[in-house]
Amino acid sequence: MRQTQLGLAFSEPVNEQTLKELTMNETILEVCDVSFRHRLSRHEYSGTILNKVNLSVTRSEILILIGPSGSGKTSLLRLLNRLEDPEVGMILYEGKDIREQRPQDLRRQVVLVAQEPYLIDGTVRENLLIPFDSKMIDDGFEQKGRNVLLSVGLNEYFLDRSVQHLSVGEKQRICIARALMISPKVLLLDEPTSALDPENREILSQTVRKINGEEQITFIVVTHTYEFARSLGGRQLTMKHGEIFPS
Amino acid sequence: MMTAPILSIGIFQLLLTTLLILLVVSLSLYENLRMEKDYLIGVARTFIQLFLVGYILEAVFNLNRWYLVLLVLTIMVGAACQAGVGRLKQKEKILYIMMALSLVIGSGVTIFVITEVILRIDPWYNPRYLIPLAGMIIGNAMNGATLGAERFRSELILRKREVETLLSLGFDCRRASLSARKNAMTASLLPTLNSMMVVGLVSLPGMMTGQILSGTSPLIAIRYQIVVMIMISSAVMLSSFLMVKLLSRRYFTRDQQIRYFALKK
Repeated sequence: MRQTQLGLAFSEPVNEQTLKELTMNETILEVCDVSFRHRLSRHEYSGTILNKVNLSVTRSEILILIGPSGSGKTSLLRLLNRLEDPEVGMILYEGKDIREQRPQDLRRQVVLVAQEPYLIDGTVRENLLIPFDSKMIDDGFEQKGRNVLLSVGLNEYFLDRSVQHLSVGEKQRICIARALMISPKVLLLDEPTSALDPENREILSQTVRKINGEEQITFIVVTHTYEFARSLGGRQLTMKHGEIFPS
Repeated sequence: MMTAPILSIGIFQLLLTTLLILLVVSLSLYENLRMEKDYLIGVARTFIQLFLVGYILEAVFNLNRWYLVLLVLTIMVGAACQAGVGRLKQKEKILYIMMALSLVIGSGVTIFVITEVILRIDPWYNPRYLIPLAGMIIGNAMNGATLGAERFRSELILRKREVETLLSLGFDCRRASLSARKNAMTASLLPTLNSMMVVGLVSLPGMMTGQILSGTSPLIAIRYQIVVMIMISSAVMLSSFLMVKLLSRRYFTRDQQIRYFALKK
């Protein structure tokens, strides 16, 4: 028997199209009454960063969180990736409290791409293989590397290029490609356009839409650029003073 | 063994070092270094501390009781903890416990192997061997643990982006902090390694010099020195490994998160 997030149960075979539509409407991530403060010492906390945030993210959607710096956008992404835990409230991933899941497994499904791309000195190939143990790497990874590069709009010749010679926009796309290497279900992009010019912003927007369309990956994109948010074409929410409002 | 006569230093001869002390003070005054006061305090402390230690050791050697030897070793570890944590930027209580654990285990294993397996001293607590050897071991273990601790923390702060990226890609904190750990442990062993490379070439080590001056054959003295160099490297490596391991538990949570507040202060 199959139970969906919507609470529907199927005991009989379902039409494939119906199933796909229902799956598309499933909630993949749910943030319930989450409040967060940074811990400064064993007993001291910062001011409120997130205040009773509620959010529901549907599978395969592009959700854009827009708002000024300091509004709590990045903190929310870090909580979703479990780099930190909320002080109050709960986050559900595929219906289960993320604190009950192994952090390593969760982070390979809900992957965070940080604002400043971190790449090791070396080739693009070496960087794409960072998420894997060297013992696991076989010929299949080479093909996957080419595929993810194509997904982010870069060709296979980039594999042997040194990352030191890449532009900031290309580095950002390599970080997305590296995240794609582990076949995530959700990609969290933190201010991906902060160092990009309008042309590169447009390329990144196309990349996100393309991956979302082809791979059905859910995107949560944090930005303070309205133009970029519009070009992504997804659902937009505004964050202000640690709270979420509809745009 | 050579039986060369030992030249003992009498009180009058000891006081003659005043000549050299005056030389240092004069030069400090001449160059206006304003170090005379500190230097004279240093000289006074050298005299007082070493005389005190000399009398205490003489008493411990004569009494020859295992509990007195253990008491001296405990005081040594306590003083090393105090000095070691004193050199760290963070000084929380928990660090004293970590330092004590690292020193007791790191030094303890080395002391046991040296005194009971290699030298086979009799009785097992023979203070004439155990105390000076343990002193060297604990002192070096403290240096190793302190260097490792300080470097591990600064590496984690410096490599925060790297560690976070690796954690966010699904690695555990052990793998995510691999570079920081490697650099910390290398930094702690490096001074010992450097001195091993030049031992006997640039200068004769203190212990070997002491043995030769007190009439021991250089051929015996070098064997002791080899044992000393190996035991120092083992104590340094073991205690810095333990310290970094314990600090990892402080800087990372069980949920593979960085404990930022523990790292920052």
